[in-house]
Amino acid sequence: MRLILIIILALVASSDVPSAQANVSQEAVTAARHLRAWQFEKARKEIAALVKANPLSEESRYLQAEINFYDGRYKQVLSGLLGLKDSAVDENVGALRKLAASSLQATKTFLVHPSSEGHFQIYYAPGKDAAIVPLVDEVLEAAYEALGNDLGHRPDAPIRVELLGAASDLAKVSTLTVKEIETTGTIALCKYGKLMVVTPRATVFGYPWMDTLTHEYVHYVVTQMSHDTVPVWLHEGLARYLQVRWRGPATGKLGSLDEHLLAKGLKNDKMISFDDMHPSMAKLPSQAAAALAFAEVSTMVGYIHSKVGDSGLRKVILGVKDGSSARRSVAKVLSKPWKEVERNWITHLKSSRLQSKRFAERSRQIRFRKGKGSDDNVGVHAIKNEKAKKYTRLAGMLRARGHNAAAAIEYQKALQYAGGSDPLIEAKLSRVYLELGRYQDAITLAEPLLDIDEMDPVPPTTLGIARLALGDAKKASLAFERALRITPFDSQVRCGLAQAYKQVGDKNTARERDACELLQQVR
Amino acid sequence: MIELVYGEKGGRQTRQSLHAPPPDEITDSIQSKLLWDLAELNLRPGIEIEYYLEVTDNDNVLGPNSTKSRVYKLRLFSPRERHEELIGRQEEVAAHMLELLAGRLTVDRTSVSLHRDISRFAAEIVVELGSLVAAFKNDELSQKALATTFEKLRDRMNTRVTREEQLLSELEKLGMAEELVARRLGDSDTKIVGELEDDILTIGDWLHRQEIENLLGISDEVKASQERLDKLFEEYKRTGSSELLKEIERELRVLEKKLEEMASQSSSMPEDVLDRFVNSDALQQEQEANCLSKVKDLLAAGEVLAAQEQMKTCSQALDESASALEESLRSLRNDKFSEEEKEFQEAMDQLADLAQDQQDIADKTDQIYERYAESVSELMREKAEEVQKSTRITLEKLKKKLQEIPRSGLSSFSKEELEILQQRLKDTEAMLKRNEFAEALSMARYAKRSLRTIRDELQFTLDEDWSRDAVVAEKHAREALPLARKLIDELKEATPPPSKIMSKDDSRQLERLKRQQQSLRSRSKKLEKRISEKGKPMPGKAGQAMREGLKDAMKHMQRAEKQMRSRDPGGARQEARDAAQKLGETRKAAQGAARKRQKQGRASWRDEPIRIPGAEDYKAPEEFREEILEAMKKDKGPAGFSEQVKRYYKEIMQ
Repeated sequence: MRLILIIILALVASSDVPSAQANVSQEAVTAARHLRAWQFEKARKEIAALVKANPLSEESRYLQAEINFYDGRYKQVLSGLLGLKDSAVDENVGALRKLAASSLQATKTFLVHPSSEGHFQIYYAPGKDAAIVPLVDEVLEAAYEALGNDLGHRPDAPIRVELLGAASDLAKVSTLTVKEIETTGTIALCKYGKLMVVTPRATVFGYPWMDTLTHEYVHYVVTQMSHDTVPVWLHEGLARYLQVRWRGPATGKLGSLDEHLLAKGLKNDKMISFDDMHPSMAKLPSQAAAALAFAEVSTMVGYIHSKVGDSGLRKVILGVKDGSSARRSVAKVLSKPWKEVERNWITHLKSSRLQSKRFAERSRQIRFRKGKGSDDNVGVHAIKNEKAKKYTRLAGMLRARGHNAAAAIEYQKALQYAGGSDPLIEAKLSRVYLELGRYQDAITLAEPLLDIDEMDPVPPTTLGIARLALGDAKKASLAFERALRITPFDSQVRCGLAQAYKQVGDKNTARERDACELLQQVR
Repeated sequence: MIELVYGEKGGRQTRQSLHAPPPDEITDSIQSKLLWDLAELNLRPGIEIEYYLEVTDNDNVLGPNSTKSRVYKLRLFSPRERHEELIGRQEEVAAHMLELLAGRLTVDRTSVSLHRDISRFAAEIVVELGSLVAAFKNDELSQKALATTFEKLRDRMNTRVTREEQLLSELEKLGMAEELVARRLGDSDTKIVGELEDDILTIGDWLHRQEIENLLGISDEVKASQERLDKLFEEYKRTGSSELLKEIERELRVLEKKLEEMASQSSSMPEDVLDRFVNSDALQQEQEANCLSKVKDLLAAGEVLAAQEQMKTCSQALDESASALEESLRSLRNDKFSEEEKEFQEAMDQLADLAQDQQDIADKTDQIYERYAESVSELMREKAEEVQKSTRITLEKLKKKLQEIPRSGLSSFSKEELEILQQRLKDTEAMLKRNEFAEALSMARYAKRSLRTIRDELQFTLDEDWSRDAVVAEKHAREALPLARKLIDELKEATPPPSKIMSKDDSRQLERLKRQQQSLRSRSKKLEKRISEKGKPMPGKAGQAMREGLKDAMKHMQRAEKQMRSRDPGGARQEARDAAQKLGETRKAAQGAARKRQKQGRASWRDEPIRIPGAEDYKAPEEFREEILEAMKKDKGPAGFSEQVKRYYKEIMQ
């Protein structure tokens, strides 16, 4: 975005000054504005006309390269900029050239899959990612339809989606550094007119990638609808609130960590004000503050939605497009001054009886690297009670040597000392029950764990296996589908789902069977 | 042709040519040198390499004849080998105890015979533990506390086995009802299980600790490699030598091997099962993003400066990892081994305070000295030219005299000393040019000491080993001494004593610093005493390292006090600095010694080119040699044995 802004300023500034750039046309400025506003079709036509009229001018060549970049034609970007100095067009040529070269490198072996309804072009590396491309298709098309209904906007041209093979590739195709990506846990971007998402196999334990795909698509829709005028807080609020639309209605159900942060913030009267979020969420003083801010904005959007529905959200976005600030637009749609909106929202939150969940802070982050030693899975240090910790540790040691029955006894002791409830111990014990063939006991323990940590695929996987073993294929498939949302490369999940689908006669049986075979081959 | 033949005992041999003569060469003696890169040998603990020279002539009439030198052996002694074996045994014992625990938790409470089986198994473990305890005594890398722990563990286990045996015999004899048997056995099992659980966790903690200590040991080697690479890069920047580039590449390989070794070191006592699915691609990517690969790529592309910068980034990351490991160890010790950790931390804190306070004293003494030296320079400004003129003449004469000393008349020790002496004279000259008369005087004194050492050594040598060159050398050295004395006298005359130049404030401050130094030495003494107290456990050999370091530091402190008393800021500054440095080194040494870092075991096992020295290459350390010469002068031996005594001293120095 910054690139476009600069070129506009460069072009606009130069057009006021009689100088060597006097031949910069108003058309170039208009084209650049449309590109900046994600009005790609308009920009495309204008740039085509510009290039026809002035094929050799720096600005025409640059704009053509820019649109090529957005279309993913990286080689053409590089060839189109040949002969232009890096410093041309206010240094933008150099920046674009560099970005195109690294994007080309990151995607040079990519294959393409047009989505089933033609709204997306999904680019992916050959190999394991083939196992999730049909899922990407399904999720995005579902999101396209749902958001098209909700917000009334359906992008015309197919949208480019790049499924990147590594977190470091996200650094290659954007201006982020690897360190920033790993520190902030950034796993996807919507930028340059496309969606760039890191494949879950590039993270150690996976992540909620399907919601993430939809999250980025929401950004795309909002950016295009608003001509890129919506501020970050509203963008994020909308994306978070609507990211579940591929699988169902947006209920505003909060993740356990978000709920915990909000409950704590409300209780201690330490919420982040919207003033503090201005001009950027990145300016907030800490990661904890940022996490709270993101939780707040998603509930704000949920609150607005509850008052004025989908059409209300649409009006808010279009209001910003037409020149209002986000707060003013919201106030207008709700027919109340902003201060009152904010107060009412707080009241709404307080009345929602948000719970500060005991184990919410144990929710895991996206991991790009394996940790040291065997503590990735144990997490024993997080158990507060010393005796519970002791027995959990012993149980782990016993289980590691196949003494499952004894391990179960020790886990039970641990659970007693933990006051009868600890998601880590319960998850472990449910797995041990699974291994001992005590399926119902495994289910009893695993089921309540589903909502504790959205990043943890173990409880749904355990449930899937147990239910399949008990002959309940329908419920097994629901459980496996939940695990799939986090860890689609686990052959246990894909093969389990294939089996469950087969038993219920689901149309996606073949898809899962193919994925199961592929993952078993490339293991 | 001369070849070096070497190989692992009983294994394949490798030949390396030292000298391949041209066809027309006719000679009956050849000299050659080979730098044998031991990194090629894949050295590992316990390996024995045999090597010898084989000479083959060029008889092409009756066929070449060959002969061999005697076979030499190179054995890599490694305490680490034994230590790792012991760790393996500890892991086995732990696994058996877990099996025992599993049995106990799930055993049928009504069955006496099943309990007998379990008890028998427990008795076997007691024997295993006993054997381990004995093995610890011979393992210098094992902590003393570890042996004690296992000993107690064995005793407890033995008691349990005995108690259970008695109970089982009783139950068998009495023939009780099943319910009663179950109750009795249940009670016994509950008690035994509780103790067994604690014992298993204790072993687990010790294994974890040893694992981290092992990793830190390798981390020390990584650090040494990093430092070496740093020096090599700097030298390459200066010289651009292609040999150095090869050396850099070799050292990178060494570093990579060590990092691989670290990565492969994982606990063989797994503490859990990983339930979450791990994406192997993410782990693969982590390896590929390896920092060192980037350094290698840059080197291969000829971008050496960029490679050096990248290496700095890698070094930083490695240092952070090492700190994190130290912190893990500290945290573990704090958590699980709290008594000795507490003791250790308290001592380290006190040591840190001492080092800081000593540094303050050194800094303040420095400041006094700076002012004194400046006053001298100012005072001498008018006389400077005159002083420089006279001392320059003496200095030139002295340098000329030293140049007349024939090198062939000197031993290798004296040659080294002469080089040092000449450098000191150069430094003296430079200081004189800068009007730094106080420093020049100090340097001239060091120079004279060196000269005297050379003269004394030559005199001693002449008694045993007459040679014309040695006679000439001794003569010139003897004649140079008065010149050195003259130089010192001229500088002394030119340099007013500190007491006449130092301001009253500085004088008073020096007096205060003397008292502070005294007090600091007294605190050091108390700390040393406390560490020496029995019953104050410390991890590894930390206590010993601290005691030795403190003793050395206190010597410097005492000398500093003496210089402060005689108002000599130059001498005081040097000693105070040395004391501060020593205390800093002691902290570092203690930290390493706390995890039994074995200097000799690791430092000698470096896969870098090592020259295997012959006997003639040994040189005793300088101070030791000076002491021996002094002792030799005093000790003539009993009547009739003076020659033997002289020979004795000479052999010591060699």
